Amino acid sequence: MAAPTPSPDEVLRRIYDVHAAQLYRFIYHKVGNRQDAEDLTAQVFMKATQSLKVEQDEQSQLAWLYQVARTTIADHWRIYYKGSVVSLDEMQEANGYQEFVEGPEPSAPPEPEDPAVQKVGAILERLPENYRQVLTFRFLHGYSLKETAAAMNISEGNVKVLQYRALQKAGNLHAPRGEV
Amino acid sequence: MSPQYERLNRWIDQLQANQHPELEPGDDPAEGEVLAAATAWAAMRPGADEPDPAFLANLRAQLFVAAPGADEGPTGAPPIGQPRPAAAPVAGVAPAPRPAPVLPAVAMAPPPASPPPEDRRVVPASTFLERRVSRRSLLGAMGAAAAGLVAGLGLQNIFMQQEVGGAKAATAAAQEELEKYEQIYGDKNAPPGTLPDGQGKWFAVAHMNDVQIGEAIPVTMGAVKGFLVREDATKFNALSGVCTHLGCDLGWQSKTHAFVCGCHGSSFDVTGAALTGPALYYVPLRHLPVFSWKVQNDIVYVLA
Repeated sequence: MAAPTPSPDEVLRRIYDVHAAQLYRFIYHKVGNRQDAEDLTAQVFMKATQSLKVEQDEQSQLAWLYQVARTTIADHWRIYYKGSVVSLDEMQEANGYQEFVEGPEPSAPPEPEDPAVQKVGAILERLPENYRQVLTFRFLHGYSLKETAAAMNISEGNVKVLQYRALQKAGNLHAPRGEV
Repeated sequence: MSPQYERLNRWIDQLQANQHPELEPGDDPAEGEVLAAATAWAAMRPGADEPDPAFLANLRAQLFVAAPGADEGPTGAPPIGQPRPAAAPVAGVAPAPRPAPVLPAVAMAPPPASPPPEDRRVVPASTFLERRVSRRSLLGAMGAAAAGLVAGLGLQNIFMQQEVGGAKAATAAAQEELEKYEQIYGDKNAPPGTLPDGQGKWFAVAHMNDVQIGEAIPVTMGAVKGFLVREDATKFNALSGVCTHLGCDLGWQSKTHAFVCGCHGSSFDVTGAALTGPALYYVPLRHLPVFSWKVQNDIVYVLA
C-alpha cells in the first residue's frame, strides 16, 4: 500500500481525519442539534466516498466537501421553509447538484472559521436589555423555558413572545441580513 | 398566544434536546427566518458544537473498508469483526432484477437474506451509532446502499466503492432468484409475446376487471413488484412498486390516489411521477420505472 501516490481510500481517510471535526462544527452551526449534525456529516462523507475526486489537490477537495455540505444543509432546510431560509444561490446549487458533482471544479473556496462566535457579543451588546437576557439564558446558557422565566422573573408566556421578538431583532448569526 | 410563539418554543426545546426538530412545515417566510436564527443561536452554547469522539470514530469505521494498514486510525476506531447487520429498513424489497427495455434499470435489491460481505468493518448493532443515529441515517443508508446501487438511484448511490463486493453478491443472489422464478412461472405464465430481442417477458398479472377505474392493485411480474393502475376502460399503467429513494416497498393509498413509501414518506402519482420527497431530507426523486402493458382476452399482461 506504500505507493508514491496514495490510494483513493488513503486520500479520503486523511481528509476525514483532518477535517471531519471541523466540518461537523460547520454543519452543527447550521442545524443547531447533534442528531442532525451527525446525520448530515455522515451524509456528506458518504457522498465524498463516492464522488470526491481524489486526484485533485487538497484545497479543491476541501472546497468540494464544504460545497456538498452546504447543499446537504440546504436540502435539509428546504422541507421547512421553501425558499425563505435558503438563499437563491443555495437553491440553484442544490438543483444543479448532479452537474456540480460531475463538474470539473468546485465553485467556492473552503469555509473559513465560522465568524458567528465573534458576532454574538457584538449583537448582544446592541440589543435591548430584555432581549439580551432572553437570548443569553435560553441559548447561551441553554436554559429551559421554565428556568428562563424564573431567571428573568417573568411568565413563561412572556418568555415565548420575548424570545421570538429577540430573534427577529438579532437575526441569523450566519446571514448578512441580521440587521441590528 | 399566537401559534408562531408556540412553534418557535417547541423548535428551541427540541434543539436543546439535541434532536432533529419535528415541526410541520409552515408557509410564513418571516417565521422561517426566526427559526433559522434560533437554530444558529442554539449552536452558540459553549461546547455545543463539539463532535462526539465516539461518533467520529464510528463514522470513520463505517466509511473506510478494512484494508491492509487501515487498522490504526488516529481516531481509534474500535476493532470490529462482525458482519454488518442485515439491511433492516429496506423491508421487503423486490428480490430480483428483470431487465426490461423501457427501463434504465429495473428496481431491484438483494434478497433480505443475502449474506453480508465478510470483509466489512462495521459497528456492532449495539453500539452508539444505532442508539443515536438510529434508523434514520447511517445503518439504514448503508443497508440500502446495495439496493440503491443496482437500482441506479443516482444521488443515493452512496458507498458505491465500498459496496462493490456486496453488490456482486447481491447480483449473484438476484440472478439465482430470477432463475428460480423463471422455472416456476416463466413457461406457464408468459404468453406468446416475449420480446424479439429476448429482453423481458410478458407476465399475466390480472384480469382487467380486477382493478377498478382510477384504482391500482399490486402485481408481481416474476420477481418484480409493481402496481397496475387502471386509467379508464381500456387504458392501464404498470409501474414499479419500489420507491426510487432507498428501495422500500410502496403502498397504494386509494384515498389520495398516490403510492406512498412507508420508510420516509415519499409519494408518487398514478403515472409514477414523484409528488413528495422523503420526509426527512427533501430529495428530488426519480419517476417510478414504467412497464409496457397489453390486454389480450381481458387479461392484462405486463412486460418485465
